[in-house]
Amino acid sequence: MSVSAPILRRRANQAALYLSVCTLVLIMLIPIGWMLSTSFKPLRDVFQTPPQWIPDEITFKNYVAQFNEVLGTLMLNSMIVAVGAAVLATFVGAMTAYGISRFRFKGGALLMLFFMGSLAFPVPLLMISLYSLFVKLGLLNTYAALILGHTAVTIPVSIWLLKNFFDQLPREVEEAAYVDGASPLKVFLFVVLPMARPALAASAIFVFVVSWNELLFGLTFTSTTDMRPLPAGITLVFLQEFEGAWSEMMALAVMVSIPVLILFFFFQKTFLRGVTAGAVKG
Amino acid sequence: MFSIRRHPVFFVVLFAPALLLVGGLMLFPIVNGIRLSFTNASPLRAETRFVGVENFIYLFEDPRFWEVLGNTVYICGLSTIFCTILGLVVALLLDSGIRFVGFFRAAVFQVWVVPWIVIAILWGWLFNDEWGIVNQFLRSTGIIEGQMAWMFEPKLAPWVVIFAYSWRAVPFVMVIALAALQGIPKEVNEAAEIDGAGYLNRLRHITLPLLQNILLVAALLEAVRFLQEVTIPLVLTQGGPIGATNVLSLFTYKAAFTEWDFGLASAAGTVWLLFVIVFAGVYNRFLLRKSA
Amino acid sequence: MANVQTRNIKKKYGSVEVLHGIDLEIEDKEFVALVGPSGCGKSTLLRIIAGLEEHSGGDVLIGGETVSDLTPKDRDIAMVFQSYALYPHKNVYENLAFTLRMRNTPKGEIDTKVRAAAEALNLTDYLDRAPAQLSGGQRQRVAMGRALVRKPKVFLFDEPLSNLDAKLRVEMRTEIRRLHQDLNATSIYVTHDQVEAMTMADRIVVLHDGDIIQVGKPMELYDAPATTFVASFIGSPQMNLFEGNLDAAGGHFHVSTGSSIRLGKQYRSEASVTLGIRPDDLELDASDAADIQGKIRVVEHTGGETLVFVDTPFGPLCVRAPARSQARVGDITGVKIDRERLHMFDASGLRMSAGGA
Repeated sequence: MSVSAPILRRRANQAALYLSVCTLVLIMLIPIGWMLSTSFKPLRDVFQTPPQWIPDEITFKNYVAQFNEVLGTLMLNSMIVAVGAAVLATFVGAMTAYGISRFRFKGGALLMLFFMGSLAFPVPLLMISLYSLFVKLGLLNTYAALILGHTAVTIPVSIWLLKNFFDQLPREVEEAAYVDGASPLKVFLFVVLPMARPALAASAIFVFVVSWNELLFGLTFTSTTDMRPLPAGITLVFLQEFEGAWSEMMALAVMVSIPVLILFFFFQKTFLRGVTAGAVKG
Repeated sequence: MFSIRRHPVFFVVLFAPALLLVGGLMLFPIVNGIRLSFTNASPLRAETRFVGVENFIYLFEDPRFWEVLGNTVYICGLSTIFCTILGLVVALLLDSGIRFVGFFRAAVFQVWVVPWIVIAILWGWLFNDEWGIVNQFLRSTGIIEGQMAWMFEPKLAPWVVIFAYSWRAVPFVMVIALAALQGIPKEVNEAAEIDGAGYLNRLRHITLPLLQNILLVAALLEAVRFLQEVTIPLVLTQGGPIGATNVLSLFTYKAAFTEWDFGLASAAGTVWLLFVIVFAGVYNRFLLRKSA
Repeated sequence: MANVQTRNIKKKYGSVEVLHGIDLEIEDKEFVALVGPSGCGKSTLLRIIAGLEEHSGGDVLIGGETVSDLTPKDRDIAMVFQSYALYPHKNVYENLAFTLRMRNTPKGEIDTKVRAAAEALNLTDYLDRAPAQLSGGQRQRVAMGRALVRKPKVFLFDEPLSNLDAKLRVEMRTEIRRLHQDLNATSIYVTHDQVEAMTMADRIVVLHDGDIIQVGKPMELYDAPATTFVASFIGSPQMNLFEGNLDAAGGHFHVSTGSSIRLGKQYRSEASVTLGIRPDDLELDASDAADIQGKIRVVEHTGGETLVFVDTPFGPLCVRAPARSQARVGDITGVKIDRERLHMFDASGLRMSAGGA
């Protein structure tokens, strides 16, 4: 059978489509690719012209150089703070979201509006009062200050994500448990929370990523290197000592990205489902 | 489902932690912050005095502050426009019936988790005037000769920030737009096709009007996030050169925690808050399509 | 002229063939229903005629000319979707006008045509409403209106009534049929509901597993189903079907329990056959003249008639009895068969004709 002109045209369109998608995606990934490429080069190969995408010589030295006590401490600090904030914001967020979703009361919508609106509160303005508050409570230079700060700025999104999930969750299961004699608290803890695992994961990942990223609280509410989280520590230690060793710098950048990239690699589907379900609904 | 009258304790238990957290760590600081903007508060000063609108007058009489406002609108505004358009284009391409959508989406979405501090470091390398790949590329295509001093030219430095912001936010817009596109029933597009609308007409009369609200909301969310963003200006450009990347978030932070002038910083933060409220109000009133 | 022909239409999804070469001739101004269970390929065939789906082989002709390479908009067809597919952001007027605008119709003409269509469908009062503000029936009407403002050569309907409640569905059946007559267009109507097909169509096409099983007028299909599949698909309640064999002379039907029945006609002798009797062709009969004896298991009063389910040596049997039948569960009753209206199918399910040696 000969191929007709419209079919040829359609195939050409398809090819153009794939080509443009691939091009766009590749352009998006160039910075990450270049970061990886540079991180595996010996320093002398970094300054080649024209630039080499595949290194002539692959070395892991730049990574080995990062295994030092300072980066280890910063990583550990960030991990503790991010996990703490993720757990706190997600659990408290789930309680609030469930309350707004299942209790009929005036002001529920208003409360939601306030939570979402608080995302626009200027963080430096909040920090002024938080600083004085943490000084009074003796929380400066503790994990608690960072966990609380990160929880506060992420909890609105956590509530929003989880409320959308609960709104879409059919109530029959809960009503059955309620009729069977479980108290509302038990229904929440033993029926709702287990069903909400995907949404809880989405919220926790979101909080973790934001916390891992956060610079200002880290700079301001900690004062010693052994308490600093990654972004603040890198700014104050590594960047101060930087003298053009770009390959090592890129290895550092890769290592800082790895925890969140791994987290995302495994939970991407869960996370996207959580975020888009809420977003599209409104 | 539950009534407050029957389960008052459960109701309180559910809301207490969040209200305590948000009340103590967001509501109190914002109210207190606005109050401080009318004072000369500073940790370096023993006594705090009410000074009326002096801080605001000082700010608005300072041409530097106007420059900061201009930078902020320029950088955040352009970034928002770019990431929204690009995110939409990628989403439209991914929704055009091609295969491996999940793979492409996942590849693009990786960008969304790259930490800002990493972007700050990476952008320093990409836009390095001598060895950066951007300049190498521009030189090899003959667009420029020699060097583009991205970090040292007041006209260029904001663009380094804009590229970073747009790049990082494209995945978010893409994911939202793609989900919205996939939510449009296939039959609606087929009906339009039978009604005689080609691809561009379907885009103009069906797809874009149906996406309008969700795209505008995503853009607003991004704009608000860009306003809060501070890592790149603080770490990479340090507000320079000659204040060209000094944005409101950086200005407010530095006023508070470098110069320790809490009063002035609070005033800047209050201006920022007012700006967001007015902007969101106007946005909601004139841009969002009201549903019937 | 707007006759529609499909010639050896094949459709593959990957390596799975879902249409195995469909040949179909639809006359100008004819109303044809495509029926079959879900997954039989009827919607795919309709979408291929519309141009929404590409076929893997064969040809589609409208008005005698091949349209296989044309996009839907150049085929001069209109389609009503099951989900209505109204444009949610446009009001009723804009929904109706869209197709005319896309074809660069002058403004004044659009207005005249939209208002005429709205008038014909009782939508005049709703022109300013958004689809979300309409009832199911009104949305359905808008979907039809969108198809008829343009007066296309061919109307395609893809299960347009399945989202409506039972009462509205009956009303809309008549309305669609009336529109078809007023418009003088060719209509192709996909449904899984044989009642819709029987009541509306000039001709019915029965599809099963990607093949056409039978094409005919509604009563032809009812009176002479070509296969056991058509026999059980057309008609409600379903035709009673019994498996058994014919004796050497071909005049008696035996089942494995040993019972047998005299047939009014001669068939060629077959070891394995299926006997079909419609519930309408059975009658409860207490007298000695009854053909089969059995015990009443269930009695369903539907108002206008009574369905009596009888356990017989041949198997369970459904009898359509008059409205106020005195039949009671547990009674032993006789059943009389109309021998003129028996259906006999061979081992492969194909209809056997009587009178063979």
